[in-house]
Amino acid sequence: MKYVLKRIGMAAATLLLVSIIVFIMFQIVPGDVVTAKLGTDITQERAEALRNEYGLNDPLLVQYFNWIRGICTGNLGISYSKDIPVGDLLLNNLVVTVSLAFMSLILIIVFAVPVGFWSGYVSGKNTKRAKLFDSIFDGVNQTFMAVPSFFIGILISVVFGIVLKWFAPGKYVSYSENIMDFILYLIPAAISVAVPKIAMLVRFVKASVVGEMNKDYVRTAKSKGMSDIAILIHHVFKNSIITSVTALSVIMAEIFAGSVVVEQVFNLPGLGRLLISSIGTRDYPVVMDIVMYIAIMIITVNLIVDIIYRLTDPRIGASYE
Amino acid sequence: MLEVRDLVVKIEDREILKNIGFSVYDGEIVGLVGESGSGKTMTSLAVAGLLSQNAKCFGDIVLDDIRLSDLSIKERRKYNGNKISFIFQEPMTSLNPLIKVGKQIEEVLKLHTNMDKEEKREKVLDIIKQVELKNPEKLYDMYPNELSGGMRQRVVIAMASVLKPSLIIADEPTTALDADTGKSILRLIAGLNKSYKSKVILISHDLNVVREICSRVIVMKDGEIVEEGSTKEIFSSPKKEYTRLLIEAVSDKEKKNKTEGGDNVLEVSDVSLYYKEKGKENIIADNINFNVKKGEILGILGRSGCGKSTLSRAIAGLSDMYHGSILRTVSENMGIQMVFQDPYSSLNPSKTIGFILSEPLKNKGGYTKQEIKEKVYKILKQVELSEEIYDRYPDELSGGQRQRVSIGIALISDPELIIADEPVSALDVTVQSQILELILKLQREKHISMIMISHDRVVLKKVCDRVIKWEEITNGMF
Repeated sequence: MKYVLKRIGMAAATLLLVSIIVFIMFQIVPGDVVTAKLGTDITQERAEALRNEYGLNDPLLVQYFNWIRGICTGNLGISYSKDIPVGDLLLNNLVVTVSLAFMSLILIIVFAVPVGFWSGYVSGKNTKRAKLFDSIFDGVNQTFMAVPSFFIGILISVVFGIVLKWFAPGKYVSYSENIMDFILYLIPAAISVAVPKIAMLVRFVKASVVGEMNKDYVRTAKSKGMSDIAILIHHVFKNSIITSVTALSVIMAEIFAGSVVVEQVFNLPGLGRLLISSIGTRDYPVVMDIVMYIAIMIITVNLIVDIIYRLTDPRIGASYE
Repeated sequence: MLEVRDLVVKIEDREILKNIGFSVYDGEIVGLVGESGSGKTMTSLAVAGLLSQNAKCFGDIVLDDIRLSDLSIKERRKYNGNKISFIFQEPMTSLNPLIKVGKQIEEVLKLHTNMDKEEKREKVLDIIKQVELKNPEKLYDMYPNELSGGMRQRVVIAMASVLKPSLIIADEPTTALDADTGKSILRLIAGLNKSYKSKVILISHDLNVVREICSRVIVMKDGEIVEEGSTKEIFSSPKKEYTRLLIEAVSDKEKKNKTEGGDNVLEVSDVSLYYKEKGKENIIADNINFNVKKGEILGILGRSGCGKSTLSRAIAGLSDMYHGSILRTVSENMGIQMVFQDPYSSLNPSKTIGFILSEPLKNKGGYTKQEIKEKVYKILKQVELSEEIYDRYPDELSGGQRQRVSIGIALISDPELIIADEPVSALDVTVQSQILELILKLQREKHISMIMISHDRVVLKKVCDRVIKWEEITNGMF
């Protein structure tokens, strides 16, 4: 328990540090919102009035605290370019991105864990046939790992959308209209995000299963008379999951941070698209909030993984106390 | 009885075992000895049916009228745990770190009996008591990392003996443990053998271990049986040269021509060692007092974990986690050098031996390239390595050669004091005696002063002019 509190404290401190860095960075980036919004052909007074309205004439420290207070209370400020609250703007896009991330995550776990285990089990046998299997499997897996998500997205759009006409590429149904259609139209995008990550996780799980299969305790289990399958389930599974969780945490952070390009390919109004358009219009409140969302996601995922680690592995607890 | 006839094991067409044949009778403890690579572990794995799948096994293995060698791997697995069980060398890794030890013992019962939950628990608690572990109820729910090496080995023994198997194979069961714990483990195995009348094969590289509890000894070398006989015969009149070497290595022989030693090169007075945890100082050992004289080899005898390695680091100036005074009458720069225990991990695998050996001189400075090269070749000669080693990488060297390189590293900067921390304990006995010979030769020729730290009394006695026990120089905290 003490550990959990300490770990949460650390995460909070990290977030604070990130927020400071983000804030400072957006003070440094060139470009003026007033010029971007109103053009160069305006009077000094109008520009000044707009600056006052956005609070840009306040001291930096005040601006920073206003921003942080806004994030904590849910008041995320006003979008420069659209003149509506950033919160409203984000919410719609956030739902799309988070749904996409969760669907990809489910796909990744459902496919990568069994495939990783099976391939690890087969290649862990250390026979000639296993070695052949190994090289073929790794080759195929590496191909999937190397293909970028957006390319798979385009491929899926062409093959299943245009040729087979299973879905209309580029179509998006809002979740408020029809939740089932919303999910269905996210599936192609989720698959595109998931495929390279599946390959990545398979590789990790496979490596850790092979590693665990060669450990002494597996030999002990054999000497007890346990069958190979039972050893895999009772002994190897938990041990290799623990080592694979680290890999999963990196992957999770990546997909939650937004699959910017894939959103573009499938024309989904997610955070990625919003981020790109907001950078174009120098809509800094929106950009800063999205960057903070990404940071929060990565830090939270790591926090959860660390705590799970701690709870499942008795060794970590012992060395810590 | 167990009968093994014409056993041959091949891995990728290489014959690892050649025509092994022996038998073990009920109630007997047979020792299988030999150095690493002699095939003793391979033999036991073949008997237990635990060889890896790329190994091919020929010949007959018959246990209590069951022809094990005719069965498939799957069928043989059924006999593991209840007819044949195994005690492994590494108690630190042979248990699953994520499962409670009680559950791990219980697994054997789950696999081979139809006991209900209560019975199984009863039986597990009972066997935990029999392997002389205290507090069975509490132990049942503990994880392996909460136990010491000796306790874990007892858990492994509990697992191996809970179903009173006909054959127990113990592969170096005491090697990873300190001497006292090892002895008690041996007594336990002997005791179980007596009360269960099971057959035991005890595998070890250490003849003293075998001598302790075995009635018969089989000596192996390069995948073949060299000699076989009763323990008494083997020790009193070994027929083969190899057996004699093995016996020699473990026999208690004291060094002749001891060096008196001159002035003190090192005075350690009232030193207490500590380690820091969360900013708090925890004392490991207190009140350490001793000195080292010029030209002598001082042995410090202590068991693992007593703090002797921490002390050596403090003396070498690698650690400042101590209070008290360490007076070195040697020059500050490179005056003290260390030789470490593990020749496998203490050399950088990506550099050539020549480079590794020249590094201390480069750090010291003041030598030209040519001088460094000459010195390295000279050192190679002194530690009895051929010149071609210069361009080799650590991976290409044997354990003994690597330890010679480590000694060379320590010697090359002409230190006034060398600290050797368990310099031979990772090596085979015959290699061990060669390295000890080398150390003696270096003492004669170069008059080096040396502290040799070890848990092995026999080793220290052979080379040291003076041996002190850890308990004698500290305040008895270890």
